Amino acid sequence: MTQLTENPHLDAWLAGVLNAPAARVIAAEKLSGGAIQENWSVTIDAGLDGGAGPRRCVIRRDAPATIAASRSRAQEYALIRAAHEAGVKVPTPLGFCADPQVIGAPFALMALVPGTGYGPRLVRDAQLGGDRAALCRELGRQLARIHAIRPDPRLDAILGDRPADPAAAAVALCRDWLDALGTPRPGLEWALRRAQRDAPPPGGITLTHQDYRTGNFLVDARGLTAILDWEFAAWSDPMSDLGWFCARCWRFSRPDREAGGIGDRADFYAGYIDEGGQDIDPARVAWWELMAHLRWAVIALQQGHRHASGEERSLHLALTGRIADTLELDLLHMTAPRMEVR
Amino acid sequence: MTDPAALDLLDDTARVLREDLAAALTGEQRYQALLAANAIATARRAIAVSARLQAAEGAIGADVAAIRAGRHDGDAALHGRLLHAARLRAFVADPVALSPEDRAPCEESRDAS
Repeated sequence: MTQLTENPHLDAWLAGVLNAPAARVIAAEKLSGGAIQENWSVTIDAGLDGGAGPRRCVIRRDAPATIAASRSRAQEYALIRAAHEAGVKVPTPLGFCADPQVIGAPFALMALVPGTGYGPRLVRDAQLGGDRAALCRELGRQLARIHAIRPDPRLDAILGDRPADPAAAAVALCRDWLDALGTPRPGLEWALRRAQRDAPPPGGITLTHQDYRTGNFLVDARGLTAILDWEFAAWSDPMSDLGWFCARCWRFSRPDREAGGIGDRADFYAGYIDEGGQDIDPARVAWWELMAHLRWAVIALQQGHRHASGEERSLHLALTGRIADTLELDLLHMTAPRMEVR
Repeated sequence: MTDPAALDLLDDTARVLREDLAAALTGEQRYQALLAANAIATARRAIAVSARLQAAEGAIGADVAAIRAGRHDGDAALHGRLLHAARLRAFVADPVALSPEDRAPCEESRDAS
């Protein structure tokens, strides 16, 4: 059974999780975005709200084509729960159902968080997110909390070993991805070689979000409401998250606003430091900003490849692949030869 | 040389999608019409610069293994050739994102070859 309404198995599971004698999904609406995951807004009548009315939640499950990756939904849920316990603004995790029989795939249940997330709109529309300096400080504070998470043994097992050298690992991963794509990209190789030569030595390692950028958090008219997209979280150099957030390629139409196209880098850093974040090393952050362009370029190529290979024909994927060409030009400007002896 | 009338046809098709169709649609359908207009405009630019891009890529003259192994570290001439090819590809992908300096060598009048 895959439907969300008129599904007695789902209703029974929801009653258990919500601690209600009975529960019933009275409406389900698919939310936009997510080719790999489906997000559904569901309205649940649990009859317990003392007149407050039905409860609105989000069900997040893998799209039918990607059920093989369902284990990552459980991992993602464990991360969101750890973040929630650490005081990070995330949708309140309510339960995880590993049984694929209930709605056709394992799924997570979370509280519905109101807000807008679309990056280009958030950067363009200054009415969103409240005071922008305050929003930048809050985003810095949230990131410091993420970096302070100390995983319990179960989450630790999910996250695996800490990398000995995150910068070298990031360069090697991009090269592996390029090799797997099979089309030589000498311009990207040039920039990767420079990244390898300039890589910072190993330093502190923390839990990192790995996709902390404008477009992956929600805001309402007053400010931040939730940090989303936890599926890439991993052990790494905490400066990698600061670099990803500030990288020029994630500022959309406002490259002059160094903190994610939202505001000043100084405000973002001030919030991070204020909340007890790690020591900020500007050179290290700058290196991760270069690396952000490389990582995004290779991910864009992978998306384009999904279209070109026939795995998933999609105009959106085809055009995303070409973003790598814009990024490659930026990267070559960032890595012009220095005066040196050959 | 590329048939200029064929490029015009693509221009007109993209314009119809963007100005006539997308403007009359909403939501997902409007998004799809704009995406299609963008795809046609991209293909049009790719065709217009294809001969020059092919020449630029053919002139790079360095394999990726050598770059990776550091045999071209500091090679300003190679960097210049990579930049030339990258400008043309970036122009195809998103001409608006290019600086005037990057854009100038890609402009239309130089298509005739």
